[in-house]
Amino acid sequence: MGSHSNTMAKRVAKCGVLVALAFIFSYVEILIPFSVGIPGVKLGLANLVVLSCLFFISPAEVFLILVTRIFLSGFLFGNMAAIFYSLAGGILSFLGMILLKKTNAFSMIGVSILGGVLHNLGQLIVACFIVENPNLFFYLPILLVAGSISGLVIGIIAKKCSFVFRFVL
Amino acid sequence: MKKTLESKQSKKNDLFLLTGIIGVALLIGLVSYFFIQKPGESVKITIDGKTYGTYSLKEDQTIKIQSIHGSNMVKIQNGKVSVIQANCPDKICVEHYAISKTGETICCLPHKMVVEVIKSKEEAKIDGIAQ
Repeated sequence: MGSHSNTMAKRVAKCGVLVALAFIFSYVEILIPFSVGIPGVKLGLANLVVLSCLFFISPAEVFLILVTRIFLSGFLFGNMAAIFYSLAGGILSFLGMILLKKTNAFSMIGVSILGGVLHNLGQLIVACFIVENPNLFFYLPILLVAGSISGLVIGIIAKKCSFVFRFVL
Repeated sequence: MKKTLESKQSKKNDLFLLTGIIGVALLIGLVSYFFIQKPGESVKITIDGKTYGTYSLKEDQTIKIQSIHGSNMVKIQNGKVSVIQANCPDKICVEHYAISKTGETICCLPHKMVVEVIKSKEEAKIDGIAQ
């Protein structure tokens, strides 16, 4: 009982800290005035946490961190629609990254690239449904390139920082 | 030794993935650039997927759009259309560059509004009948 509750407490604390970290990254992302005039193009700093966690803790915990972070930052900085976009992008990219990681053929950077691309794809699909206009797919090529570049950058940062996560988690 | 070989292989795979995705994006981009995007003649504005109005790209004008979601100001100038004002929270539509080719869109997600360049007014009418 003692040791069991201890590990449970440890897991809860660990997830709490990681949610907080992802949440801070969401906030930092809003503070950076980065806009290129194309909707959906952004760095996705919060994905840094999800990506790093995928390699060190169980997928179920990562999923919990992802969804909690989206709802928290959605309620504070966004609105209901923003939560839908983030959930669609976040969950699609999460599933893609899990599958790609399972193949063991790609490094953290490859997993991150697919994550970035699928995040944009998920958001684009939801956006098309919300405005009821499929012509938004005109943005697809730009979003594919933007997603892979931001995925690449996040992947490189995550790889450089992975020693921290390995040490802490 | 095995470990370094593996990481080399995964680096190669990462590169394949990256070039694959960018290749697909380029292909879609080129196809749409050469086959879909033509200089447009009209602008169609839809809200909630329903046509709000169709306007000629040849006449310079400012259009005020008011819907239950909010208001946007659309400006047509020198054959290009852009959103110049909006009371939405993110202002992504205002930051968007001016568009002039068919298939190009500017959308304001919070207001569920899409500004779309189309070939001609007739095309819009046919679309309207089909719907």
